[in-house]
Amino acid sequence: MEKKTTFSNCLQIIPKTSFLRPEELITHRHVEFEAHSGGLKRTQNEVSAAELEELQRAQDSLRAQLSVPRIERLGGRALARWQEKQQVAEVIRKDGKFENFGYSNQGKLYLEYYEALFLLEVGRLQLEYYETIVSVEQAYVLLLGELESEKYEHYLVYSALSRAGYIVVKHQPQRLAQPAVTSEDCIWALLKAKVQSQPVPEHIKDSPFYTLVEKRMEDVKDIIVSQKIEASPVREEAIDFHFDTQKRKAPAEPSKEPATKRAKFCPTGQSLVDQLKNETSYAKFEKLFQKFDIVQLEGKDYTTDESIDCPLKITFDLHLHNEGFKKSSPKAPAFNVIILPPRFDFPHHKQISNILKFHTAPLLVVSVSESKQIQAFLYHIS
Amino acid sequence: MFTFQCKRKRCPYKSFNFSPFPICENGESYQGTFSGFSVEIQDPVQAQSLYDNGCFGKGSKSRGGPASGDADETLLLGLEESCFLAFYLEVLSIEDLSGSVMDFQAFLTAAKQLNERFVENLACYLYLKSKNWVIKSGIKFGGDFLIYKQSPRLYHASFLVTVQTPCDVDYYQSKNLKGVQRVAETSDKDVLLLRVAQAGDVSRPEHLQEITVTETIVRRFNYSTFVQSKQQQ
Amino acid sequence: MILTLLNGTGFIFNVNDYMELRSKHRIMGAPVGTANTKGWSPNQSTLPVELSKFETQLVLDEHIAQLVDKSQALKAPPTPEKLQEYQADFESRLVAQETSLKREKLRETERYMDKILTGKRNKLLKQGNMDKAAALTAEDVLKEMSDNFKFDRQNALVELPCEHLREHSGEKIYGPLVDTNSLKYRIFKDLWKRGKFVTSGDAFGADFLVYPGDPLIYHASHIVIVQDTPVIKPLELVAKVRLSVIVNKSCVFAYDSEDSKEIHYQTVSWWNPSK
Repeated sequence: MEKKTTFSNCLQIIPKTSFLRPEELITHRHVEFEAHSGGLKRTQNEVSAAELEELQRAQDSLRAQLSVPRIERLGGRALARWQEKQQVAEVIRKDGKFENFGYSNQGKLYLEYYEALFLLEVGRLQLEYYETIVSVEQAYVLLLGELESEKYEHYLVYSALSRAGYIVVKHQPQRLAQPAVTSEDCIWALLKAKVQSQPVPEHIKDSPFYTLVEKRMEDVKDIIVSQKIEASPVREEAIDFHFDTQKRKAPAEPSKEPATKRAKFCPTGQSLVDQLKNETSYAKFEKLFQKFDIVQLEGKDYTTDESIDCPLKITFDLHLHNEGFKKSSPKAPAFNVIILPPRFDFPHHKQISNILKFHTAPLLVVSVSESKQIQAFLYHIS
Repeated sequence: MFTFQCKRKRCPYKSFNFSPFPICENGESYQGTFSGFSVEIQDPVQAQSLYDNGCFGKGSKSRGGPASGDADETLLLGLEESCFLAFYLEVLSIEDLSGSVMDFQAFLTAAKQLNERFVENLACYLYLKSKNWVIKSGIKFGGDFLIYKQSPRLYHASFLVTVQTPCDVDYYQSKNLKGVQRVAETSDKDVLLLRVAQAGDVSRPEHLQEITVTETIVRRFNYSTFVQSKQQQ
Repeated sequence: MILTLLNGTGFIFNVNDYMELRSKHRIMGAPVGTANTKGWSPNQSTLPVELSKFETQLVLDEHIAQLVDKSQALKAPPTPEKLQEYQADFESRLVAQETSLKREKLRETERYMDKILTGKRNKLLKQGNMDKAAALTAEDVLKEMSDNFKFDRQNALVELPCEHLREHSGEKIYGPLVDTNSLKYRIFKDLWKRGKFVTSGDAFGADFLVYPGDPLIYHASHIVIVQDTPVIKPLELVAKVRLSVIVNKSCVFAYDSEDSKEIHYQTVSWWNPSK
């Protein structure tokens, strides 16, 4: 907003609606909302009577849905006070399951702005400001503010992921100590990856057993799969990312490349599309393939001299409910979340690899579109 | 752990004995003519051989390999694959319309006039080719390449590849990436973004070894079904 | 109509205002509030509705609504008089519920009368009071309930209103919020003036989605791509047109005429010769 061209004056606002009457409070308390199912949508506007009627029904239903009030017993909500200076909500009284919310400081429990607004909107929190109960509108003004702010996107993502069933907490930057990995852990992680497409945790991949176990499993799978080819002409297969932790095989012909080139190449960078090298056709023509295998994958760059101006950072960590999340001693999260506001470009390889340097959980880029749709994207990088 | 689709086509070819490259015996090479926008193979035997061994090119009257049966159907090779066959695999000789043989420098100059990002595209082509992919134009899906396992006759494309230089930022614009991603997703492909680090002067085929690429795969993730599947365990 | 300035754009907290904007003025906005009702799907949202900056600008341009910054009023501590007034009002709304709550309690009792009567009779029978058990009637139960009813403040119902229901003030904001001469805004406004519903298409990979009527019952008919120049890059053309095909819409490229006085629209459809 351009402040220079803005001039303003004062306006007195007298709300058109008033508080519900006692009888209305009782009748509206348990309004069950039934979602409108209008059947197939139309593609053309023919301005027919049937259309107008259908539209009226759909609008009435939307109005009813948006009119559901937030009513609760005075004693039925948790209670917090908004502290404008510190921009925090101090919890005065807890109610119901509260263990995944807030943080303690000097014996007091505080809620982040997104937690407070979420609890308030779902009807679990009464937020007070100078001894008055704030309306939703006032809460937006106090907690999120009148200026354009990333808080709005953060709140939308927090709310959507919480409602979807995740435990969403503020990102914890510290690395967690991992217990030693056994070859059995590797087997389980690989099985989970194959059967449930769960990502293999980095600490397992780093284990010296990992490549061995994986190779063994691949071999067994190859035997099984190769039998299947003859049996069924139509099939779908997923080729698994073969993690080649060994150095690239030296070219059969003497390399003409300068030594610096090799030094630049860092073996930790892994291609994501190397799988077809396991085909028999590759083995048969390996020398030929290597002849023109000259464009290389850029190694992971661990230098810090090139400071990358990345406006994106990890905002939230996601945990799963059935994994025994504890606020006091969180385990490694299931995902790290980067929030992408509208009009922001998707992060590119350098930015992601820079972020991944310090983090081990799979990275979700959650985009909030201008129309407030929330879409998540999983990044895989070399 | 990253896995991707390799969806086999419903087709009569069960498995056929193919070679990923056309191999020239006794030093003979394929003959092509640079027509101004692609390299044409006139000889039908050579055309068929190039298509059958590595699926290079496209029939001038067909969607895939030359299949019309017309005597005047030629095989059209794209710029990158022509360059690859001629100067890296060294099985193709390219002549210009006046009949003189084009060397790498001449071909590069001509190709760069048609596509200012030819060097970057070529680097990505080589990069993927060395990993045993069959590479076709990605234009019909709005990308640079489509890459296949073995052959487009046997498999659907696994990736829609987009080549990028550090100076193009348009691809990362949220609406563009989401659009390409959605198109790829509906046809069971992944989007592979190859970012090519700025190439220096390229005047000889081996100069491409100075170029490095990075890979990024962006896939839509349904966070609701994921968490529901976890809760059911 | 009054929009509240939040996030640098207009927000609506009143359901009537929103329905009017939507049905009368074809302004969609996006519900961003978290619903408290169980059974809603996680992707359904409720009031407040956030208007995009384009939408806010449009309703300001068309004098449909006013934009008001309420931050000063709603952040200011209430004066002691206001606070007293508020507390008296709040208390009176609690106390006013006594008769209603009592009536509701009795209604509940009546609803479960059969079970309550059986329970009470069994209890009396166990105590050996056969006569009392036989004589017990619904009226007795209701009278007892009524006599023993005690109003407990904690049980009084409190509504958490969406829009701020007490009188307050705000500063009018005149904008502009966006560059009204920008091509994208002019296209947005032009499409809207043609009687369409126009929403942002960025989740789809486009600039706008155009609907022939309220998206409640109509699918979008077009995706619109804003072009800085009339020249469309081949890859972009294919990417966007194919996108439009898979989502079953027409693809429109919109760009300025050379003198920037007119907007041109170019519809491109996919023709498949083999079909």
